Amino acid sequence: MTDTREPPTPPARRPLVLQLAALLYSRAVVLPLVTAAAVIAAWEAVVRIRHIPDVLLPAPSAVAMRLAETLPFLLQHAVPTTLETIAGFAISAVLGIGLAVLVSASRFAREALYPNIVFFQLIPKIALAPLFIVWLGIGSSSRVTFSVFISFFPVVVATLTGLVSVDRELLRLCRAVGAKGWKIYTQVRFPAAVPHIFSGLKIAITFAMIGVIVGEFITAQAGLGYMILFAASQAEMALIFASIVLLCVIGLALYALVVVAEAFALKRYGA
Amino acid sequence: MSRVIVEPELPFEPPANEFHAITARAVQKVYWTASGPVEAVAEANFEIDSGDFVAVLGPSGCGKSTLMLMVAGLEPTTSGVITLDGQPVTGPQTTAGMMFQDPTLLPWRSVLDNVLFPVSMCRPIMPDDRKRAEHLLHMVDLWQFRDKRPRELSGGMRQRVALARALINDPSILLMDEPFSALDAITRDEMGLALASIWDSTHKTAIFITHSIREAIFLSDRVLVMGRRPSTIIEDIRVPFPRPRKPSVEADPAFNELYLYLKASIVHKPVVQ
Repeated sequence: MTDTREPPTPPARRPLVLQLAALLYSRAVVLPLVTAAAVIAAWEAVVRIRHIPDVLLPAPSAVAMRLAETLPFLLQHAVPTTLETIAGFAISAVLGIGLAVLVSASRFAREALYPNIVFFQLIPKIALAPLFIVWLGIGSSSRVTFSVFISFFPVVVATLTGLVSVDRELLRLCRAVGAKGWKIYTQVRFPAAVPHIFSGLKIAITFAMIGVIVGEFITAQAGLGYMILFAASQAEMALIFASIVLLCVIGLALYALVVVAEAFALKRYGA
Repeated sequence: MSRVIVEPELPFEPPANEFHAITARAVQKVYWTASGPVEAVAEANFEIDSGDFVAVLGPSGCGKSTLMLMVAGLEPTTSGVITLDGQPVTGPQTTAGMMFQDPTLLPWRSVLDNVLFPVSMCRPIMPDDRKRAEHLLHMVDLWQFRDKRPRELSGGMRQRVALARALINDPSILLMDEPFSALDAITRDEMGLALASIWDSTHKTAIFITHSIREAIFLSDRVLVMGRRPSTIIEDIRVPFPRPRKPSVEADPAFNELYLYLKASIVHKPVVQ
């Protein structure tokens, strides 16, 4: 066994910045952007040619103008929505991962809890939103709680999948060397679950925002969900669309943060 | 040809003596499945001397792996006793180093940290452990790859990491369950040579499970053949070739004779009941 080969050169990894730059010019990015631009252009054209009134459907240009005019005002409303989404997401992440660890570690917990957690998911959760207002009042806490309620399940399922996906022989090896249960979690199960956990977190961040918006629809004095309802009551269609655009931007930014965190985690723990 | 065929031991022999590194007495394993009991090992009796390299040959599903897991203390026996150095096996044996068909490395750890894995799982890593890991990496010829991740290595190299990892705690016995069967034929031969040369410098008591008759003869001092249904040890043969083993041993007519003999003993299953 005289292995005098040089270490095989790993697949060339360019710096992250260059990778991103290359991505921007790639077909996978250009093509969807062109499609979206074409749809918006068609929308604009239809509204102008058919003279559709603003109260029915504002043209994208009108939405853009309204957004520019009201941006400082809308940003104020974006603050509580964003903060509540982040709070809901953070609690979901901790709760979801914690529950998954509990359910995977203890057979008793699994049998007692897991069917109930799954059953809970079958309830049309939106229908329960008013209950949270009754129980927790009209403040942030009811919206954050509702947001947690609808976003923690994907984290539980994904984390659980990851925790049990560990190679049987690896677990056998852990037993063979006399490893303690918690060591197996911190050194083997949890790192192996990281890619799965992030797929759950990516779903959770979008669900968390939906939860907050639904909460704001029901009761709020501020927030973009509140703005949408308010604008609708005033027949301010352009303002509704402007709020939605801002929501999309915030949602995308929060999602991107999770994706960036995922990229770092996978660099460390990915296969 | 100096072939010694040892009769299987009777189940009610006096208990293990300290001269044997490993003994199995009337070992039986029954798994209870939804469709009823399945007898994985019907009755296994053997003794393995300290420093012997023993290959276990047999068709798939004959219970070889189960037998090894019982020796490692990872599966309880249904009945019968296994002893290591005279002590009955009742739980996982930390004095055994193990290798499986898959290298089962942690993808997020470097080669060096993978070798240190068994240590890191039960106590803080000491400078001595590190030194030993480095020594083992030299031995399996992976020193220049110590900081690489497993994904950057070839299949044979990964299995060599697993071998170094199995040796990190300086185990008294080495248990290997078809460690090379997922490798291509050329790499497999290389790994056989590597293992033979490492064994020549460590002389660990070893159980090596394999489907390959040639591999079994080339590597071992003794070959046990397991039959299927009932899964017992049907053949126990000393391998007469001198050590260190060289690839040229395969050219020896005795090698081929032993090969054909073992092949026949596997194919012609003993009459059932």
